[in-house]
Amino acid sequence: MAATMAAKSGLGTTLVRQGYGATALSTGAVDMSGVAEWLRGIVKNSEMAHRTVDAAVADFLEFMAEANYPYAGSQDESLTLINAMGTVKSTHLAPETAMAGNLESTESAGLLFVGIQGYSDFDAKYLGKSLRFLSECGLVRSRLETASLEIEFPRVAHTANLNSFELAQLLDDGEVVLEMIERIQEKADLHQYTHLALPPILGRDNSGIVLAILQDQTALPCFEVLSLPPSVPGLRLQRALDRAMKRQGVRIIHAGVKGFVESQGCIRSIQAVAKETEYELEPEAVILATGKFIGGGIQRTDRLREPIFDLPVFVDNGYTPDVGMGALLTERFVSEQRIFKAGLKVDERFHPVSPDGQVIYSNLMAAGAVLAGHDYILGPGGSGISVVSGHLCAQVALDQLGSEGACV
Amino acid sequence: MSCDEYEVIVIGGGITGAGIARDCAMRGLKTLLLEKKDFSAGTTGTCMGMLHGGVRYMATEPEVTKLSCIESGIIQRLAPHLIFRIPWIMPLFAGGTAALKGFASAIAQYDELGKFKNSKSHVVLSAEEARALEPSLSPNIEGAVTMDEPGVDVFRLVIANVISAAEHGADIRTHARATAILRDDNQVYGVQITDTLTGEVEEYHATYVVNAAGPWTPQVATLARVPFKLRPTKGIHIIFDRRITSTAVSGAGASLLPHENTSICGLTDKFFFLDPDEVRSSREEVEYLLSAMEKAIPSIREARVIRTMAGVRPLLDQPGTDERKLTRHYKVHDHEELDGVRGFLTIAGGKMVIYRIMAEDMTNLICQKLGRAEPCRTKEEPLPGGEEQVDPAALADGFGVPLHTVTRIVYRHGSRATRILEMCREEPQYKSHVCVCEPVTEAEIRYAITREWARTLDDLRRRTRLGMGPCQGCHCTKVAAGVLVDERDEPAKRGHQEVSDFLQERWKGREPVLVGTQLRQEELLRACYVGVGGYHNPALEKVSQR
Repeated sequence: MAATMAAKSGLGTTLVRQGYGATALSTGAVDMSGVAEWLRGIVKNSEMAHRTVDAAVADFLEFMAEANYPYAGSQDESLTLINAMGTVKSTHLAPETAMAGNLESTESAGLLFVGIQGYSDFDAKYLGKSLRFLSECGLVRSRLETASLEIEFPRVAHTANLNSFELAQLLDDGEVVLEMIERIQEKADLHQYTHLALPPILGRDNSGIVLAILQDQTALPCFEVLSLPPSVPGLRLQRALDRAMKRQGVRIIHAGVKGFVESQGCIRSIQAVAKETEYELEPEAVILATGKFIGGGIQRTDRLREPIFDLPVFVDNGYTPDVGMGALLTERFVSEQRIFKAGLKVDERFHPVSPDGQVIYSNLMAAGAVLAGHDYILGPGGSGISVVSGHLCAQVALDQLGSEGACV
Repeated sequence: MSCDEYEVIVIGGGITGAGIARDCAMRGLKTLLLEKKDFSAGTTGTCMGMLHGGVRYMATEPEVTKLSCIESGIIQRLAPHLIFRIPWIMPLFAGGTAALKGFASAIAQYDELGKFKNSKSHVVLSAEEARALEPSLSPNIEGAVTMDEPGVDVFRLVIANVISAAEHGADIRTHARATAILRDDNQVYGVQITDTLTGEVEEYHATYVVNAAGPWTPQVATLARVPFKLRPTKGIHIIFDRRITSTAVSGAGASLLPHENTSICGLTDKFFFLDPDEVRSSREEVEYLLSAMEKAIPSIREARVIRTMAGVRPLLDQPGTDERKLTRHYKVHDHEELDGVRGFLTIAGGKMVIYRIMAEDMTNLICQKLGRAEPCRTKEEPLPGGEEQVDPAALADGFGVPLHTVTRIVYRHGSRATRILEMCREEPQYKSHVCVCEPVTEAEIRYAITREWARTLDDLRRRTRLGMGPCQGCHCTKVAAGVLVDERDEPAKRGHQEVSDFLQERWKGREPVLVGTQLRQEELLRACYVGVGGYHNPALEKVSQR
């Protein structure tokens, strides 16, 4: 998000990355709950916080639409979406392929869960049972009737260990979609249902077309449930972001950062190394968006550390050498685990700061899960913080470079 | 409340209790085996699984070592499919070569016992030879001694005994916690249990109640209102994500053993007088083991630790004795003689490898008291799966299941692997891997549920190694929950309970070792079950409660 926004703002932008991180593994849904409050706590300006969140969401939706992977939703209204575990998740922005499954938009529904033989990541029978149970005990506001069936997937030779990406790729072919619909219709009278709930495999590259064929041929709203890793919608989101970056002219380098040069409180150059190529970059501003542990933005060995610039790592507002490591984890798995709030502390312009509050490098900013003080898994905040902080960092870079320049 | 009559009720589904139930059933006694949680859920499931004599006991308890070697050979014959063999390297550190001379006699005696456990004699290696065999060894070693040692899949050894007991007529109850020992004056006549999954209370009557509850033995004795003391010690292991050595290696007070797809490093030995249900590994103990192994394998800290396991040894009470010197002998206690309470017997102490002879001694006593003369046959009759050898490659070919999957099924089930493969033939989608790390098929999961008393995800873990690989259940937990609910025809609520319970149970072992790559994995697992699944949601927790 930061790179796309920076490029859109007219800044020459280069993205250095080693590979895909948590985004490609995610459901693809973006949670916005509590993001404005979180931002207000940093920028100390309520109006600006709201304005930034609005602008970030609008830009994100625009980027996704332009990248041919349209999203829907808003920061103000929550969506309740079914996931592949048979529970529901409250979120705010989701791909169009998931939107018909928003249980907030329906008082009652008759859901038919369609599973695939040999594809164990989507257990249609269990999901049907579970959603009916959640409805009966009031955990979802809609009254749900559910049923399930399993089909043999067309054009696969084997009937076990089918994987999401293999199926999604096959569904990019419209003929396969039609054959799949035929098999569903052979097994069920679709007039009995209001919606079709499908595994999150509706095409790797052509999900919009797959969804359109499904809805057209079945005359029912169809949706993918939210995915667990390995996640086709997560990969779609990542690839859509890549397309958005390229569209805005971002140069993408697949390499790891191995070093940097700093002087007078500024980062002067970055050394990145791919297999056989070394890059020496001399940016005017740097945005660190390396994620939490999955992305490698924060590491824990004998201590918590930020591996590229060796920036101080905080948990909430506490500098981690002052926080006992034992205090970062509790005995109950589902409780808050403070280690997942570990990251960088930033000032109101998203510059990482030292334990005494001083900006460390005046042309370095940080965005996303690498930031301290929020647990994007447990919330509040969620992945929306990545969208908003990325957006804001790009804006700060533009402001700094447009006026006095971040560094002399 | 139901009430059934038995000649023997055995309390405790560890290796000792399972062995006693098998022996009793094979001698025609009407037997009930009760386990408060699941088979091997206590001490047995946290041991390394080595079927060795323990060379370190040669100096202090040579008779225990000899017995262990004899019994090792018997187990190898009864269940050949569950056995693995491994060279065990004991590096010699500074001064070790000279010190070795002092142990020459003990080692020679241990070699002599090797005939019982089918082991080759020890070999003294130079430092170069040792490192050629195991390149990760420290450059500072003076040399090494190797032993040839057998080991066993201990979870499967227990379930094989239970299956055998059941096939000889024993009744089996798991998740059946003894809540009272029924006693009339000085006569124990039965057990009241509570099913911990359903809350149902039941009573079973028996002529003899056997307390084989391992570290919970004193608690069970208290229910019978008789005093009983142990000298329990705690041991922990850390588990790595892969086989980081090709041989077993001893360090300075710890050992590293490649096992299945992992490596296990243990073992600590400290007195533990708290509730055995509360035993957990600490960061300090993890650090102790890493430091102890580091001397032999300097790169050990670069390896990825995925979890820990902790258990309590139910050792015999020897007041004033140091932890490391406590006896590994066992005792069969007749409380009629000790306390004047009839119908109540206790067995305590011992080692996993001698479980069969422990069971034989206990069953001999019961038979003597009942006036029964049936001889023990547990060392002749193979355990289920050990009846004949099968060829994994031929089975893989015949059933169209990948060889690496069939090899694991054969290792766990021996000749009975065909029963699982038949399920794959009838329902081809059952070939799908529920657990990709290990790998465990849907057929094996369903088999464990229908034929091996698995009622929870944690039971399935012990039967099949579900969730024991590097991803620690990230993928398989929710898949297995769906299969469990389907096979047992239970409501979805049970699936959510199982997911929650399994996540919590596994967390206990991971929490002390979350660093490096495993912390990355933890973020992913947490994102799935908390971020997406919402298992932290109190409303979901509330409606899913038992």
